Amino acid sequence: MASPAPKPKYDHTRTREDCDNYYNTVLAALALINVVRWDDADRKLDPDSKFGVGRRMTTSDKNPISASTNITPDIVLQRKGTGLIGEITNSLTEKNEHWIEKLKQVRKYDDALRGWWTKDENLDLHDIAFIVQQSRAVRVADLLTKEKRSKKGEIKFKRPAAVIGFNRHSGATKEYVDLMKFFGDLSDADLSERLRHGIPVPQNILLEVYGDRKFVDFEPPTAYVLQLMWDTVFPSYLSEFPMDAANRGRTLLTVTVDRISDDMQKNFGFKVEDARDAEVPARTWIKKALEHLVIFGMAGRTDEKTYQIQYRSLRGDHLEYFGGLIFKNKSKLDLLAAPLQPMLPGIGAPLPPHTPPGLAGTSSAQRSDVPKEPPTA
Amino acid sequence: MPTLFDETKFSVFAGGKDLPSLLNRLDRIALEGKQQVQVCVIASKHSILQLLRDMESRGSERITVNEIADETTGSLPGNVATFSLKRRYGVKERKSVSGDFIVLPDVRGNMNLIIFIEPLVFWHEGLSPLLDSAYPKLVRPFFTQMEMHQFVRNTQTALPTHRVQVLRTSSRERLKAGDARKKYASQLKWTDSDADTVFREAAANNEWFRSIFFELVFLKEGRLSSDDTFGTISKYGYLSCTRRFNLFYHSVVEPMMDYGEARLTFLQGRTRTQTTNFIPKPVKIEYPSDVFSSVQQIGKLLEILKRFKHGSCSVLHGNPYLHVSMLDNYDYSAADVWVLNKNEVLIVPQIRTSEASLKRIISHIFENFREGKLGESRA
Repeated sequence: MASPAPKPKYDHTRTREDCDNYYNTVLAALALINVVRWDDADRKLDPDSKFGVGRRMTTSDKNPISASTNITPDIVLQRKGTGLIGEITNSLTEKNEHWIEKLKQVRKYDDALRGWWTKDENLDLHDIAFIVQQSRAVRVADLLTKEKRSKKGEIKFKRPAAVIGFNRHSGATKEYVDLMKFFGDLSDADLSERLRHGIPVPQNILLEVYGDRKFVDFEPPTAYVLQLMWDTVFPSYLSEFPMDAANRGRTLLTVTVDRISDDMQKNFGFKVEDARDAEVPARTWIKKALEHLVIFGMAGRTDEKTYQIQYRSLRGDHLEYFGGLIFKNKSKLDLLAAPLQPMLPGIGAPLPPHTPPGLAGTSSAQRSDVPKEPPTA
Repeated sequence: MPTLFDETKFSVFAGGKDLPSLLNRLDRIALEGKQQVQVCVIASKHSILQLLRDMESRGSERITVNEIADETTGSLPGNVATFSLKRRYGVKERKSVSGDFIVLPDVRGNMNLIIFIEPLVFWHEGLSPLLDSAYPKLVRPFFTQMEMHQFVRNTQTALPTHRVQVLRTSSRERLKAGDARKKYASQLKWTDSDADTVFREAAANNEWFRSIFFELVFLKEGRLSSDDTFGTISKYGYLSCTRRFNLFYHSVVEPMMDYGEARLTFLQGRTRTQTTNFIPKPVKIEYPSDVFSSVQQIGKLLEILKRFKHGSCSVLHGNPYLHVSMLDNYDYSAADVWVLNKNEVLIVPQIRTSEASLKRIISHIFENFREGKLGESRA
């Protein structure tokens, strides 16, 4: 008789790599913002420059991909009357079809977008930057070059467009995030040339100038959100909830999705300054993380927006702890995300035990409140 | 034996409790048996007297704290108080220790003094565990090797006819061997050298002291003679001495309070709030050389951070740069620790980070990795 297949074990390296890749995109976004804001002549950041992460821009009715609708590029920058739309991906795939599909999507930014920081929200000129991991930048640049040369090529840009690779490297004295242009040009010839040679941005400068930013406008791995919530957000509420000896060392925290989201946005995301700014991190990510805690038996749902957390000290590495729990509860979590099966008429659809209200029956791709699909490796 | 003109523990405790008269009496004390005059500097943003009174009201079988009613402090309400402590300890063999202590609150800013005239065991098994149990409301300061050396120099400057002769050091030594399972070795070393030599040798050997036991000596007819003054200075704000309390108060205890208060002021107010626009205020530990130019050193620091007692360390990135999230289980303060420069550790306070917890993380790095210079991190 064949012995049963060995039970798969949790591999924390993968979770940590996913979180690291996510954080790399945060760094890439901040590095690009810093490079564009930098006034090389004055040797300082231009105080009049504007930027937004996940800012909602409105397309024109002539947009070939998404006409007359709101789109949310990862980065929107404006300096000295010129704009820049940046789209970041940390995908490491080597499949050309994936990249072609991505680039086709980027074409929606090659449009007279509305939503700039001007009186009428319009801007005469903006550039488009597609930011990818440096190891994939040549592949993407080659695809665009091929498309540009081909008469039948579908991916062509009317506005200045560039492919910029990002990479982290250890210098002699510091850690850097490098940005290097592999294709195209930007309308600022000087910046374009400097990017061609590569610009190293010290990582500590990003931390000190932009604060402790930990999110961009696409969804991070849930273990990342859970670790951050457990280690930094929940402890800040502890003083409001007395520890009861009856709870065996646990403190019951009553929290709302809105409160956690607000606190995480203020401390680790980007401020919402006008109606066009997106909330980063999104409330849906927070709710999803809280639902995970419900499944793990570490929280209970009071109503759609309110949860009761059983807070306690956890041992060891908390990222590994939550990564392990996600792995262990994969089948239950899959149920949480799965769309409901069609039911016979007259028979109510039974919800999975921990399905969050409002999420039942929809996949993340169908929901309009999910700003972006998470990048795939 | 004390003479009529000497002070005893009882006369010190019975007399006026204002600092000058206390210092005066302590300077003239004649100790009996294993008694030593001992002082502990302890930081608190709360009222230390209230904390001790709370401990008194809670009470337990193992620890009994009682405030001693004192007519002499009647005119100084809330300023000075005397307590007695009895603590039972030991598992295999039941033991107990008891003694009295005077508390002088807020002597310098948030720095409080606890003075007692008891055998050393009262400190080690009685008072020290009691104070540690009140963390993070009561926080013992820590001092760097350079600051410890300065205390000794102050003593020598104040008494130029004498010399501080170190008799014993309790130290930790960083192990350099790559295959060493422990990162440091603890040792008790007996010596008979002048303090400057001992501190210089320690620096050369990559050692740092947890405490030093010394004697005051003077030159008489070409030979070193004892002044019969012995003392101990600890890295964690503790001093004991057998004589000349006034000298040590000014050369050691006062600078301890100054350094402690300055460090507390430096570390406080780093919780992110609306008023600071939620912007973190990072602290950096700077080293004079590029200690992190080798990946092994980053690995060592990571291993040390993982051993943070009563806390957790979640690794977000370990190599080539370091990024970990630290959580202090005492008061649930959180801080990220980064190594982004080859000569610097960056500590980024999170949403809520107390100065006590920051001090604990820094002290952990200083003690187990290496001491550096604390400073603000600015772009």
